[in-house]
Order: sequence, then C-alpha cells, then structure tokens
Amino acid sequence: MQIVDVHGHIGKWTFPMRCSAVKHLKDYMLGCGIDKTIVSYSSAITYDFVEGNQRLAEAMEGEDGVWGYIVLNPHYFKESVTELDKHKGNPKFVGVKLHPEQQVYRLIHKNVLGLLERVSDLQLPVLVHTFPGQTHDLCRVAREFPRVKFIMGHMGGNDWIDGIEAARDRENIWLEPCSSFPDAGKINRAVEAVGAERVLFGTDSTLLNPCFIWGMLQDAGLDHEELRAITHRNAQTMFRF
Amino acid sequence: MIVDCNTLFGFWPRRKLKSDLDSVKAEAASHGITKSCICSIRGIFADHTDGNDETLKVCKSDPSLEPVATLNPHRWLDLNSEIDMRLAQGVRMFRFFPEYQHWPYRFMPFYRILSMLEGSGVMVVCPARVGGHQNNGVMTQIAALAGEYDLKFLITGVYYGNLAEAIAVAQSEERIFLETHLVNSPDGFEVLVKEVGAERLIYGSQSPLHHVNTSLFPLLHAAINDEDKEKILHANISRELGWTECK
Repeated sequence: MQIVDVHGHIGKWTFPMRCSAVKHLKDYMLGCGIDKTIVSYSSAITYDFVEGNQRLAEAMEGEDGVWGYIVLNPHYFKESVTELDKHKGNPKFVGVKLHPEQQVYRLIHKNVLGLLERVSDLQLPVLVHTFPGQTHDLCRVAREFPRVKFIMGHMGGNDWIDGIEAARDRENIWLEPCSSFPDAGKINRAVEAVGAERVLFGTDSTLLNPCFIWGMLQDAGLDHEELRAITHRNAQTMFRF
Repeated sequence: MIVDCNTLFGFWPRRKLKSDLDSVKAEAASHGITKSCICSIRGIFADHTDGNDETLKVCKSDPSLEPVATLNPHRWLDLNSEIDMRLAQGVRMFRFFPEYQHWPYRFMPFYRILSMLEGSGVMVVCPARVGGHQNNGVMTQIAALAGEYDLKFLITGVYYGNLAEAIAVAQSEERIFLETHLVNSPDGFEVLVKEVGAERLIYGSQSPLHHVNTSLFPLLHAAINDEDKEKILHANISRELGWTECK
C-alpha cells in the first residue's frame, strides 16, 4: 500500500533528538513504508520563515519522495507575499503551512485573510497547525475561502473531538490526526464524522516517530478502502501527485 | 514476552470507549501481550476502595493480570486501612491520577500516602502530563519526592516535549523509572537507552485509552539491541516487582 505523509518536517528541534536532515527523514520513511512526505522546515515555523523556506528549497533539490510547504508568517505580510511569489514556481513546493500557535496569531486576522486570497488563486492546499483555540477560527476562514483546501493538522490536539465536530460540515477541511494525544478511537471518529475521503495521514516526523502514528492507524480497524483513502488516495488527489 | 505496565478497565466516562475488561484483554492478546498491570477506572473517578476491590477480583481469577491499586488523596478517610489491606493482598503497584482528580504533587495528603507506602517496596506510578500539553516541571517535582521517600517511582507520559526533563530526573534519582507509552520522538528509545540505560525503561501502552501499536511499533522498530528491548518489554518490571517469572 502506498503511503503519503502530508505532515512532516526537516530541520532541528529544541528537544533531545538527532533527526534533522532529509536523510534522517528518509530513514524513518523507509522504516514505515512511506513513499512521499510533505514537509516544512522547522526553523521556518519557530524562527525566520524566509530563511527556513530557502533551506527547505535547497534540502529538497534532487530528492525523491520529499515535497515542501511554504511557511508564511502573517506578522510579515509583504514578506509572506514575496515568499509565495518566490517559491510558487518551484514544483517541489506543493502547499502552504500556517502555524498560528507557534507564531502567535489568529487565523481570522486580516493579514491571514489577505494571504489566503493569494493562496486561493494559486490553488495550493494549506496545512494549518491546530490545537484548542484554532479549530473554530480555521472553520471560519474555510467558510470564507471555499476554493482553498485546508488540512486541520493535529485535528485540534488534545481537544480533537471538538476539532472533528467543528470540521464536520466544512467540506473544504480535511482532518489530519497526528499528535502526542494518540487516543484510541480518534481516527474512527474522524472517519465517522467526515468520511474517509476527508481524512489524511500525517505523522509530524521528524518531530514525532512516524511509527507512533502508523501504529495508531494500524489498530484503528478500518477497512481496506478507508485505509487506501487515508494513506494515499486523498493526498494524491489534493496534491496532484 | 511482553508485559504492559499501563492498562485500565471499566467504564470511561469522558468519551465513548470500549474499555470493559474483555475488550482490554482481547486487545492485549491480539498484540502478544502476556501480562497486563491493570487498574480499575472506577477507582479513578468514583471510589478507590470499590475500584481496588474490582481490580483484585479480576486479577485473582486471571494470571495474566497484575493488580494495580489506586488511591485518591482527596478521599483521605481510611487511607491507612486501604493501604494496609492492599499491601496485605500483595499489591505491588500503586497508581495515581492527579490529571483527573485535580491535585498537585506538592500536596500534603499525597505526602502522607507516600509516607504510608514507604518501606513496602512498592512502585508508585505517576503521570508526567498533568496540567496540559508541554507542561514541564512536573517530573522535577516527582524527582524531589523520589529523593525524599524510599519508594520506586514509575513516571508515565514521557514524550518529546518533556524528554529532557525525563532524562535529567532519571539521571539524578536512581529510584525513578520511565514508562514508554508516549515515547514518540523519532529516536526517543535510542536517546533514552544511551542517556539513562535500558534498565530504567518499562513498556506500557495506556490501553484502552490508546491503541497498543501506537506504543509498540516505535519500540519494536527502535535501533536498540534485542537485549535492551527485552529489558524494556518485560525484564525490568519483573525485576523491580520481584517476580521470579511471569505468571
């Protein structure tokens, strides 16, 4: 079975781990049978997004199996627009990443809305980090931008039940359940609420071990067609792989 | 052989969950788990004496289950007799749930319980994740208790966000052991084995709240030797609880 991981990273983290380069990511992909991973650069989220996006562009060059998200920082509106312009022609960049928690903003801020107008024109999917506090904002902006395909990354984190319910009727939101809250039943509940066609497989590697999320999916007891949809078919459609 | 040091059974009130004893046992069996250390959910949310009675009862009739008693410091009344009774019944693990019962580790009733348990050789099971995601400092508080009370402490909920603290407390207090259900950084086991030694790690799944493979896959795929995996999967807990062999 093919596997596409829509939520990955490369770059260093501020935790006791030694996985930062594309080769580390690929080792873990191999271990879990993951064919493709779409990543953002860690420091693009935690520090300087322009520098991080550039590092990702360089790291992905010539690498099979690894695609990228352009990280935007709405506090820097003009620079974010420039980032979109700079990387939109690079076929390795296939989406946009927003991290309102780390960069401390709300998704309903006018700068985010302004960026999403441009993203909508570019037809790039948007992966949004969501923990409690961000899921309902995401639903509001998803309603305003019906042409944009949003991925609810972490599905609301520890409040994933609320995240699922918030997304239930927003057909341009896909659920992605990886997090350090791997509760039994959460994937099943997502599938029940929105259908397997709107659930994606993500791991948060190399911050998390992809085996951790793969194990959760393996034990969810989904049927073959649901698994196929989640592990690769939905992502292939969304990212036009 | 796999021993799961972290399982619960009973009714889970906070979301719909198959958490009855038969479901938990079936989940364990389907993953090759030979022994489960198990605690009644009733003891967390209702009455700890009733819960412990329930735990002892199911364990008595099933050698694949090892009883884990729980105590709620808020209850206070008759704690001494509850502890004496469970020790007399052979309970070797006492598990605490401050994350659901809303009490801090710096809590005089908890100190009293630890005093009562001192010298019994039991293992005290404490969660690190109290107070939300990325709430560090909790394990440092547990380490202070481990320095003060002659008890073994097993800390659950070690994950990437508190890994540095887990390493530091395990290095500073030899009575601290780390449970592994949430070890989720890519090289988490490799780092922990190198920094604190495989002898200090004990496998748990947090079933039925979590699926077993969520915790088992990362350990089985870890780049550590088989001997270390055996220690984590069963040998360490057998040694620490004084089991001559798994029942």
